[in-house]
Amino acid sequence: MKRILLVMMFSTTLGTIAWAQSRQVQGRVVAAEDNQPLPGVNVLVQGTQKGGVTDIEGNFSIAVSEGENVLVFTFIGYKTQIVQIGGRQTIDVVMESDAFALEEVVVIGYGTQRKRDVTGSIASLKGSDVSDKPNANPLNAIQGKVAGVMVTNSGVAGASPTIQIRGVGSISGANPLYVVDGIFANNIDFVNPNDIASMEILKDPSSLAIYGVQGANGVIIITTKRAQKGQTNVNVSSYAGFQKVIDFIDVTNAEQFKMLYNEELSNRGQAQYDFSNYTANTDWQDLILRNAFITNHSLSITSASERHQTSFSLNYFKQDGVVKYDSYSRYTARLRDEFTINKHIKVGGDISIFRWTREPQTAGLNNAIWAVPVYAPKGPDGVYNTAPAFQRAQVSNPVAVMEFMKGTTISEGYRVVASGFVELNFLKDFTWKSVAYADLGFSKSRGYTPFYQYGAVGETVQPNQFSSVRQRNGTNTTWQVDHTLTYSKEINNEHVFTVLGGMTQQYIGSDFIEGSRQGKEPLIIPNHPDFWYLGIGDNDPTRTNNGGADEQAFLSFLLRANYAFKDKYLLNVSYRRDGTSKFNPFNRWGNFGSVGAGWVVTEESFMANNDIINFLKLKASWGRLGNDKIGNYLYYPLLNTGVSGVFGENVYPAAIPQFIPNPNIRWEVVEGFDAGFEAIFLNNKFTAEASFYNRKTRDILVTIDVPGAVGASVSQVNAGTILNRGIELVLGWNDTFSQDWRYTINANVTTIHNEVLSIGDNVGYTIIAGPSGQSRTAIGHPIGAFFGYVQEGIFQSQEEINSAPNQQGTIRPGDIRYRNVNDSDNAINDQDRTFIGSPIPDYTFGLSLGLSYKSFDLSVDLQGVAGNEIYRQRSSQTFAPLNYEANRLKRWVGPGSSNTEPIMDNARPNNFLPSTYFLDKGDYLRIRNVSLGYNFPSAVLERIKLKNAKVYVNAQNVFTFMKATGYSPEVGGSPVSFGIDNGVYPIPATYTAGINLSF
Amino acid sequence: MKKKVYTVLIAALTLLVLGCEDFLDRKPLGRYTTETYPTGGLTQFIYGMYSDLRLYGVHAWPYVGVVSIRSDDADKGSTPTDGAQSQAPYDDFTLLPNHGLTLTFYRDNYRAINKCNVVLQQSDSLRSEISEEEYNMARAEARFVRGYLYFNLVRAFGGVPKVDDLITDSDNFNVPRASKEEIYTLIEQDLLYAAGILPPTWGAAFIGRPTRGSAQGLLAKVYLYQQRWAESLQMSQNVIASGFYNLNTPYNVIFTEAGENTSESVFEIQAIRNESYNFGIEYVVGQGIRGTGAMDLGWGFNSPSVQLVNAYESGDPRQDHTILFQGEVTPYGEIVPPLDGVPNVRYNQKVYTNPTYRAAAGSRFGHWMNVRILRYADVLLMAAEAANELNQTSNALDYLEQVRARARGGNASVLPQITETNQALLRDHIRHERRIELAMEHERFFDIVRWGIAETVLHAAGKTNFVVGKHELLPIPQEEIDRSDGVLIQNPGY
Repeated sequence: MKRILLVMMFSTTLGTIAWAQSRQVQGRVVAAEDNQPLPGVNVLVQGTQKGGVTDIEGNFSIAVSEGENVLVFTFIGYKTQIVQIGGRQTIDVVMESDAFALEEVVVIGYGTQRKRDVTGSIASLKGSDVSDKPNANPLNAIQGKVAGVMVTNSGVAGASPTIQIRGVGSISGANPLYVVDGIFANNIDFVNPNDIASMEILKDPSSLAIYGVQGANGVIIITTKRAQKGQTNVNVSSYAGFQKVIDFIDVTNAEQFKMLYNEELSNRGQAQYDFSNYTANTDWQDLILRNAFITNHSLSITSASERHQTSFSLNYFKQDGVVKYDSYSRYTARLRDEFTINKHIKVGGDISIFRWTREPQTAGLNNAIWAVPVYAPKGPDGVYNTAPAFQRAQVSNPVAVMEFMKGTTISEGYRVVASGFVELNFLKDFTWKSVAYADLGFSKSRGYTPFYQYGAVGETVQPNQFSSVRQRNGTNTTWQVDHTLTYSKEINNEHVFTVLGGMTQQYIGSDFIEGSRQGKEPLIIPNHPDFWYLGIGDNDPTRTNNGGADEQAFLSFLLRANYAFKDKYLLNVSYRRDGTSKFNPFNRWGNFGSVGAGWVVTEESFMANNDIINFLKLKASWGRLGNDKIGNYLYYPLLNTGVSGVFGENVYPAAIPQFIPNPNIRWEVVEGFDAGFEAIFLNNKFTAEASFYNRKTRDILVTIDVPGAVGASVSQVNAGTILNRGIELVLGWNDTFSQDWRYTINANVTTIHNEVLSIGDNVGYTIIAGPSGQSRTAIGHPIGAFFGYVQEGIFQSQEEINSAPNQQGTIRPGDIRYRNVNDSDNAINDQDRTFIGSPIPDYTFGLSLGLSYKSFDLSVDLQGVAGNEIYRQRSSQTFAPLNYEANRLKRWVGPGSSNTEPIMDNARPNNFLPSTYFLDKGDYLRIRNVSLGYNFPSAVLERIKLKNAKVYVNAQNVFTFMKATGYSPEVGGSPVSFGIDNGVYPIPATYTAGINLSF
Repeated sequence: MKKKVYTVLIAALTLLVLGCEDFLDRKPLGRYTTETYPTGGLTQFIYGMYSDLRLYGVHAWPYVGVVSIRSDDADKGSTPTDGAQSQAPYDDFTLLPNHGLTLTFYRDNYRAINKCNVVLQQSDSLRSEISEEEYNMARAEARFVRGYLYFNLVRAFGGVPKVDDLITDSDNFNVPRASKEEIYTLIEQDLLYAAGILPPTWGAAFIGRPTRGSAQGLLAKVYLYQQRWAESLQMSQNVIASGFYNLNTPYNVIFTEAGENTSESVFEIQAIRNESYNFGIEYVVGQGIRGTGAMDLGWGFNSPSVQLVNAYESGDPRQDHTILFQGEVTPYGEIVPPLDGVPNVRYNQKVYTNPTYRAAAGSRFGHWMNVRILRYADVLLMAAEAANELNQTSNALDYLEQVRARARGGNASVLPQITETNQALLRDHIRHERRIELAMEHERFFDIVRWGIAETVLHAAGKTNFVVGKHELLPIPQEEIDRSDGVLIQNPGY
């Protein structure tokens, strides 16, 4: 089948369009940087409609009449060439790369703008930056590539990363908005990475203001590939490889564990544990992790003629997770068509169909770290073992659970995203565009909980006393309608206006239905997927069913004007009025807007023809936008009806208020200022961009954790102000060593100053979060800053304790000695806690190096963060005796033995107080990507009739320099309890090889 | 033509704008609000209040530690290293203010108090729609539950924030601690009001719902804690005289499933978990036998101490009904298994479940078991204690003998009748009887504190970390102090 497809593609001929006229001019177009032929270059006879494009060898042939003497060669990414024909019959043209593509347009929301005219902060990435990287989601690949964008990746198969643009400005819903060819989406799972032509990341409030309500946390705009007029391109790309965990958590082996556990028992005056029946030495992590397969295949066809533009693509992606038996696969198909009916009317539409299946991990990461290494997964009789009694009930055999639960969840879904538009050009300068979008998602899952028990006689555990099945089906429905009217006018080549007005309306709804059914002895439901439907079993009274729905709606009116005077002075202004269903009618509407100005200094006469500074733009902008990303219906007095009154055997339905409703919740408002410059130096070799940002979020929407005595929670309040401030710097250099050797260096760094300026307003409290209450959102500190004691050392002797300040509770030698932060009372108590770390890095940075030699190219990307901390929650657990992490081997065993690790004894509460003892430095530097590619030379390509062919090998997350002791320094979490490592999915190293072919 | 197009467009836009508010109005789907709940009235809020008595922090895992593991009658139990930061600090008094279970205990009790205040507030707002009788009854029930919850809080923490109204305005969220006396006054007022209105009995459909006797019995205890002997005795005698309660239930039946809501029960927390319902409580699972396979009935905490074992008079049948010893054959024919690494395992038999119920519920963990809060025997012993303090010796001896007589279970050769008339010596007998009769039942720690003997008995039981003037009370949770911005003041010593 594949073969037939290939033959079909080979036979697609790309001819030269010619007019039978008086005289033929022909020639060859090559690129300046490598002298390789450039296919697809537009050739136009100036002043006429006559034109053509170059073929795969860069050749063109065109008929010119008498008097037609000028040819214009244009190609995206290259400077336009205007050539006099003179008397020549053969014209060879060298196209120079327009490296910084200032004439290039960027997508700005409801339109495009020349990059040079932008006054805000918009980062632009090419599709090729993301498409070949082995990730489920193209956003994973932008990590470290864009200043101001912090990507927190997850190693889970198919997972999307967490994206924070310029710090954390909101406590609820800090994720950006995605706009795919105009469609608003909360994720881009449905997008084939190979379809992406460009990705624009809007960072500053003035660029975002046009997205008003939705854009407070940044917008990522994705534009898919289109063909050039007269071209048909076929692209086939594939890669395959595997992922491997390279950073394990260092835990004690069996011998070390036994020693430490018995030491702990003797420290507590308990008898030694008899380990004589436990002779194994099991590495549980090794047993639940695997080298996992990843592959991606994509076919896309784009074609365009005078009147019709179309693209079609197919994609298959499969990723197994490194934690058994996590797995995800995805199929997408997309078709896009655009018809130019006449010079006034253009219509088009697209449809994407996306299907996914997922199998969740059945192994528990913390389970494998906590299970003691002294027993083997299975006994000699093939029966799974259970743990020794001291953790048997709390910590299951990681392998047993993993295998019993394998394949018991079947989860899949479909999503159809479609749009249609009509565009009317009238009265020369006006364009009316109406677009309708629909995004329909269907998900279903069913699963089975087996009836199982394991363990030797007298040591069995029985996690489930019956079998059960469950089923859940859900749908998501989003639709959106936009109408915009654009007026564009250029007067005297001096004044360029674009004015846009419009409205947009969006509805998001979802509903689900679910149920479960049990099967008890003797009717145990079989462990086979054929039986896992709710119809199975008898008329069991324990069956459950449930269903629900949610709706939200938005309506906005927008207005924007862009003005440029002589390409020199730029002014952009926007206004937007947004309404939302999230708030009571009297607080529903918000007014947002922005203003931005720019000055292209190099257009001034005193800067003209400057050899050193080729381009310099100064810019500044201010904007105000809103955020309403909270749950639905929160201003209503909702009831929780899942409760009942019980009297004897009688049950009576009950209701309790879900929370104290707050009818006054209103918009969270983001206001920001942005100023900077963009510059190009030394004949386009060196580029520099810098911006300063200062953004305040007022009236942040937050669930204040009220004092316990209130006895209820509050739905949401607008309480507090958060500041994010920093500098972004982007530097680029590209040059050649010789004809064959070229190199590029790109570096970016962002500083983040996150500070809570007020919180709680009249309530006056701190937000306390995190499993040990260690995360504080308090005035003068970053959101979710770590709060606790400062470890000074370990008490070495009773004398040291006696001479120290009064301690809390019972303190003995070997306990942690905390700093007496507040020394006025000569006592260690709650007054000695302080802010001990921040989960938000001070710096994020990235560095990309590119080197090419003839047809080879090598790229290396580095990425990292600095200045944050990670709280090791996973190693503060004491619900049962657990395996120890390796740091415990350095524990205190007597005077002078350790000044960092306390004595072995989990029953000393002093050593479990939130403190610097549990903090790891969060700084890391990662070799994010190393890629080596080979582009087949044109001679070979001609022979096999290809436009382009590339093979490459890629290694991602090759190595991470870090101080954190967990699987990954990318910990994540909700904004108010960020950076708490309570079992993070490993970020694997991924090695792939791939091929890209274009016809 | 063009004009027409514009007219249509403008008309369409106008319509859209007019339709805005409708488009943006989204009512909750598939869930009720206070306005849309179909039954109207109050009952849903009353039942909701009772459902909160099953909260984890009110009567489950933290409760067991607060009321029992701290006493000399119970040890932490389980394996030696288990519960190192949860129940161990209760057992050995190494508690620090950031203790998680104490925070849950504090917060959940206030969550339940909030539901009482919801009933009170709703009764006021619906006053014109409901009968006077309905109004009064709702308030009586809410005030009974609230009084009971505050009694648990004041015994655990001393004075606590006094929240006797629904707080909805954030200006009033930060409530300082009231004095212990103010809280006791609130409790008395609540319970006296409830005692005046609650019915003497509710009938089969509402068996276990608080009665006049529940309120009076609880009041007797509230007065006892304040050494207001006469008022206490009066309240106990009201319960005794009511005729609704007796000791007809054999001691070994009281704590079985069959012993729920018997004529001995003055107040108990209702729970159900069977094939049809799952409105259970996590009270039993923390204390159940820590065995394997079918004998994995729980986590094995709250283990009867050796001091309790030794406290029984020789031949007292209650010892066998209160404590499960390793190797013992239980009344249901099961054998109490050993626990690896733990010598002489003992379990609380008062939470031991019937295997038939386990099979029916498809669970081994006893969520269906009611929690016995106030028994008639307790009322009699309170009466005996108060009477003795008031020098009504013969009354005291009579009440005491009623309890001992039932305990004998027909065996006249054990538990001889007490005839002591010396007040101090009789006091010791009554205290001893109270310890034994109510062993493992939430009374002992609070009793030794109010009797002023906590230090002596706890140190004798090896709990030598107990410090007088500190450990009688729990620390106010550190998170609550932090959240209050220092408005809440910590208990002494912490």
